[in-house]
Amino acid sequence: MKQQAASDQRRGPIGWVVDLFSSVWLGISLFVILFVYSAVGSAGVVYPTSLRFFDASVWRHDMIRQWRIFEMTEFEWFHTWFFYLVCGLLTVNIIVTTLRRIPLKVINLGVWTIHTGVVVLIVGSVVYFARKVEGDTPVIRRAVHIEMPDGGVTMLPVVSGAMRSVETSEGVYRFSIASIEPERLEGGFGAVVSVTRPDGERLVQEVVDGAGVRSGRGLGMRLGTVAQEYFWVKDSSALAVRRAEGGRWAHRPIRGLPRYNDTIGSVESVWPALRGQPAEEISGATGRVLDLPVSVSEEWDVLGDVDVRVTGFLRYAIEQSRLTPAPSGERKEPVAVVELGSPGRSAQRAVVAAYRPEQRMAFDGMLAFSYAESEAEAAELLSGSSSRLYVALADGGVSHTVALDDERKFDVFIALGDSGWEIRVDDVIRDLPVDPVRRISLAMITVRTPEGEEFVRWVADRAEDTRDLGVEVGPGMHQGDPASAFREVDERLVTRFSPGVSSRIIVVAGPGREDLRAMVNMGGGAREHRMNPGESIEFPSGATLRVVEWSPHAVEESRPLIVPRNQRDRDADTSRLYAMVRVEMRAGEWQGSAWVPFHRYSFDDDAMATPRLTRWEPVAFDVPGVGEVEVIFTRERRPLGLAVELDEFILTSQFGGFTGETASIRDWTSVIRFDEAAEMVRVSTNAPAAEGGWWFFQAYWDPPSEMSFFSPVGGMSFTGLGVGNRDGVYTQLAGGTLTVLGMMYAFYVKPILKRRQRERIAQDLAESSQSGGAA
Amino acid sequence: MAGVVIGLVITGLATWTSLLRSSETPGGFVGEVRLGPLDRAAVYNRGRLKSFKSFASETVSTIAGPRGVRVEVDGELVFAPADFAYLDLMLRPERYEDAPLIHLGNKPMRQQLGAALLRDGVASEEEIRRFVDTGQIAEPLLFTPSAMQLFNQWSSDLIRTRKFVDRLEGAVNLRRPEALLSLLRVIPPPNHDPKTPWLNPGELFPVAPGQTPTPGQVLAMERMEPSLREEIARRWVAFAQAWRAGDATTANARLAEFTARVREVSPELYPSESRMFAESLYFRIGSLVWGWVIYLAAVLVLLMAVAWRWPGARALGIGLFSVAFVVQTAALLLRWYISGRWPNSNMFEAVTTSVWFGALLAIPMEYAARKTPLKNLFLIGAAVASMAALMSAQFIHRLDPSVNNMMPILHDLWLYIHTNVIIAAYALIAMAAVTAILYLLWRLFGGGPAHARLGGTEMLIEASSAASGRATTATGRRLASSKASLGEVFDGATLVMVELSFILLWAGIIMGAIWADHSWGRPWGWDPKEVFALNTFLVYLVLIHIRLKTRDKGLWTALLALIGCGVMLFNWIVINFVIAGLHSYA
Repeated sequence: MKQQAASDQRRGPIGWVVDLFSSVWLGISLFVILFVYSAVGSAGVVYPTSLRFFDASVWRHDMIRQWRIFEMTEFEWFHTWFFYLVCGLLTVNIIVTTLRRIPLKVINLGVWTIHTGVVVLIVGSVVYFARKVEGDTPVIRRAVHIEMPDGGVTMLPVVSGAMRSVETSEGVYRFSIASIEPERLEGGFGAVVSVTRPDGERLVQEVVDGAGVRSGRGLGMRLGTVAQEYFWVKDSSALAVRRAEGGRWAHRPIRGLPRYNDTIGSVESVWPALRGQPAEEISGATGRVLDLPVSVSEEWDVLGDVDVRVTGFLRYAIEQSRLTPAPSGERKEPVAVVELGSPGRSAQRAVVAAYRPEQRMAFDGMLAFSYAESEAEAAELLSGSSSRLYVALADGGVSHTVALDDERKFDVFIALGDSGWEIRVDDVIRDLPVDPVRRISLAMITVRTPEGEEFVRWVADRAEDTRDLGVEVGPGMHQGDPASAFREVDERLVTRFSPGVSSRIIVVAGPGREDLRAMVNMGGGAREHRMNPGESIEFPSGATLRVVEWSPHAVEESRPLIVPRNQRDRDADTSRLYAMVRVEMRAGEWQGSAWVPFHRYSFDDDAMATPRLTRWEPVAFDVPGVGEVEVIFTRERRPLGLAVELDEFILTSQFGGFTGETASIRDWTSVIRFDEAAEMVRVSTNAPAAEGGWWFFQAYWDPPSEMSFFSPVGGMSFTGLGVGNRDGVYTQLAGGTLTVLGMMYAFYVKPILKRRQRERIAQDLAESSQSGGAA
Repeated sequence: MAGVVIGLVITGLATWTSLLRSSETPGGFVGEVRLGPLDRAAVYNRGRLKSFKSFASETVSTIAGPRGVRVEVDGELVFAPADFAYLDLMLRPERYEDAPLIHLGNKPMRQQLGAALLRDGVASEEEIRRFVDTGQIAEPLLFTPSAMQLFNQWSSDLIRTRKFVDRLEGAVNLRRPEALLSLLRVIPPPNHDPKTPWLNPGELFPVAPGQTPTPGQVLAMERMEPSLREEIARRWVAFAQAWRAGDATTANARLAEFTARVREVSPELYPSESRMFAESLYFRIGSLVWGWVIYLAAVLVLLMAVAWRWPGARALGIGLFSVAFVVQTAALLLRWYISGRWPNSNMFEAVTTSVWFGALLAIPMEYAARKTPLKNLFLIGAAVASMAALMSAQFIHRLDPSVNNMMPILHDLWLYIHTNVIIAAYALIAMAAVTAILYLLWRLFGGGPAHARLGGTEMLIEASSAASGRATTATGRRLASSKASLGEVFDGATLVMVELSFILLWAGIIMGAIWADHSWGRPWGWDPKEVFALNTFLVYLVLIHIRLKTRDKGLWTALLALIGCGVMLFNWIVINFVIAGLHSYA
């Protein structure tokens, strides 16, 4: 023992380190560390929150890497200095051990090959991961190239919902895509463009691949491909800025932005928790200071040295405006503050707004608030339940209320007096979810104008959501892709839809300021109460109701509302669909701030930004000395260094054709070309294409909006290509192959060699003993 | 030989009882209708042609849960065969109006709903108790105010309860006769186009005035020979009427005619009768997963052979194992035949094919070890692994045996290579865990710290040479003279399997990276499934290296083989079902 210590001392620290690195125990320990590190990073941890171990409810599962102190994606967790350190130590350990401990002999070739392979694999991986760039890019199949009557040229992408306005000397032309027929004329591609001329005349024009058309009065149209020159980097974050007039976005990467945990300075900057939402989902996010300077990285950045910072992050929130009663206002917006008390519990308070479906009810639907324009309407509202459609002509000529509870009355045209207007109720849809917290109800009606035109109107319970849709748009037009068929609402016909209430308490205000009534049915029949603001009424159960105040007018305030965790859609969450950042700007004395929502793509041309591709809500800042600028929260955008065009998108189906179900899809193929080359390249699942140092993969697609007679309608108008580089991948492959070969040698060749060796020795021994015996 | 005979007898008995059970027809109308002709009829569903039998059992279990629909026969409730239940739900829906039919899979939610219904006084305690027990509830109860309120509350929780509400809604919609009729796409498209969806019988009838025809109706009117269309339609109506009237004789006759004529619409698109029959048979005999019973018998007998070195037990064990393996292989081949692809693309297929590989690999290993003390152990390992997997396939409903199309990304040569290599490695890992458990039991009951001195494969080679008198080491001579301790033998068998699975797992991971490189654009993405495959390998790396350093090699090997198996199962079960990553389809 002493001798050993003495020899250690003699060799000094270097010897000690060399010994350490030739130890198998070090390797084993590193394996264990790697195991624990990757298990915890990948699957998270499960731990009890109290000592009652046998109660399943005390166990919690958490993803450690998503904790506030880490805030890492899977990729980031496996690219920390710690992970690198462990891998580095392992590499040194393998090399030193192999050189010092394993003699290079035929018998040891296996382990030598394995260890060499591992080192090669690690070297390949270092190259691969250090240089890895990964992202995706949408490539639009066609755009309508429009030649304007004054000789100007403009372009409208053929994607559902695309629109463009062009100003000319005559006035403004509006173009939109009315419908898309991806498989018209044997694989050809066709689109119907809706044009509104400056004089208000509407016309529709069908454009088909390969055939230019010239419609009346000098509008020329033809279809052409659209070159994509950028891709967006996976999981990256950036602010993009440009002048409000439009143009090229300048991207500023945001470094250190949280990903999983909300970070807001004060609780005042968001709406309070929803009912049933754990308060810590909001309070846990407050009081955290985030202050990330976001600096210029592209030279065409218009903000120059304006101080731009990100000071807040919300992972899943929606901007919501709420109302509070105001003494006066331009618009009618009846609002009341109501309070419900029950014995032994603290009173609950809520703001209800008669014209806002999402804010019309309170206390889990127990109370509904309505506003009556007339005594007759008040009486009807108090009677509750029935859903009604109110129709009137804007000139005040006729008005009509249709009760919608009896479906037998549908499908018949109702004349509005002698005005020549007729309406027909087609359907009523209730509580259609449009986003995590908002639901809308619709009455769908067909309207006949005195001019004999027919159109469809969706009368929404919230006036802003009411839409008119054309029904006569033209050949191939259908109602399945409504986004493309919306047109301006015909304001001559006023409609209002109330989906009806089944609440136990119905509070009706109006028509006068002092008219306030409640119909209460808490068991034992309904009873009407007259109410005064500020005074409570008491129910037999001991519960009390008070309208604290109400007004026919309101002020509105907009703040983000953090969506409760259990109501978040998983896909939307991963794609950051509802993420937003707080952006603050300072220039001299001036200061501005706003919440800016996440945009999947930053398109320089607004017409490309259609709902199927990205959210599009740039936030405007009026910066002194710069002017009005737009800001979006998006991903880093990089040039591909080449141009990709999509010639064709092919959907291959299983037996029985494409039915709209995923199970009926066999494959997706994008037929693309690079840099206007004559040669087309096919990219499909499991079959990428290489060009310009990138590999292009089939990543996502634009599903048809419906099936009509076995062929898709709408959609198929773009492809989503994955883009990535793969430097070092062949080194990795070589390393991997070496290790496998080495293992085979070590486990299956080596035992045979060893056995032969022993047999030879035994034979030699036998021979020598024999010859010895003979001598 | 005797072993094989006894095995065959047991198998025959099992098959017979299983067939008997599935065809055990109750009396009354249910007993009188003959749905045999439908066994050969094809239904187009989700991009595939299925046999009516398999289609009906999938659909009925979506509505009523895995146990199916109960019908009243002579005042008693009995479970009806799925094909009968489908037709009866469609043709006589009124009989099920108030019957407990709609299935809710989540037990805590059942209790919550049951309590609410009880509070409201809309259902009796007996009804609620049965609902909580079976999960089946009468539809009207779902539309009571308290139930609706509960659904509203459940719907807002997207993570825990929403999917069950969606499933309930789906079940309620699916049980409507119109939905069942529209799904019943049994008529091949008259335009003879393989890319056109099939038609349902309802589409043979002219459109009601003022209604828009469906594409199927247009096809039937324009492309089908009118006399054929009318004839088929008439048979369908006659069948439906007879069924509604409870007239089994007429219903049987019309159904047989209907199914025979339907084929004539597009004979070239119609699948072969034998394939449809095979598919019906496959589901009727419960996918043959009950083969675990034979494996269980084999394990018991082989364990006796190991413990008491009784040659009769070994022969019987081998016989039982062979029969079980034949049954397992038959199930695999049948599935391959009916789905038209090697079965390795969903959880059910991955699990059953994995253990089949295990059993397949056990045969040459057992052959190599036949003269050594290691004999029987490979068979035991494979039998236990197969038994466990087949039992899960039979009793865990998450493992859904229905045959469906593969996702497009799975259509790749590397799918077959990567997946099969990995699942073969997984089977070996499970088998190694079996001998590791035997080793630990041996230690527990007083065995000393024995281990295989020569490693796995080398020990096997030396032991079998020693058996023929060519031992080169003392170990070999000891093994040949049957003086080797059981501990040494168990450790050796574990090592043989560990070594092979070590290579297969690593090679499988590398092959997965090759596939991922060209399908997802990156060889390695730190996806949980990838990480845990690597973690399983890390455990084995520790095992291999720790044998170089520790004294009690046998114990360490057994413990780590067990841990490795645990990590593998964690990857398969927890990662797949709980922390689903990109690999969630396999």
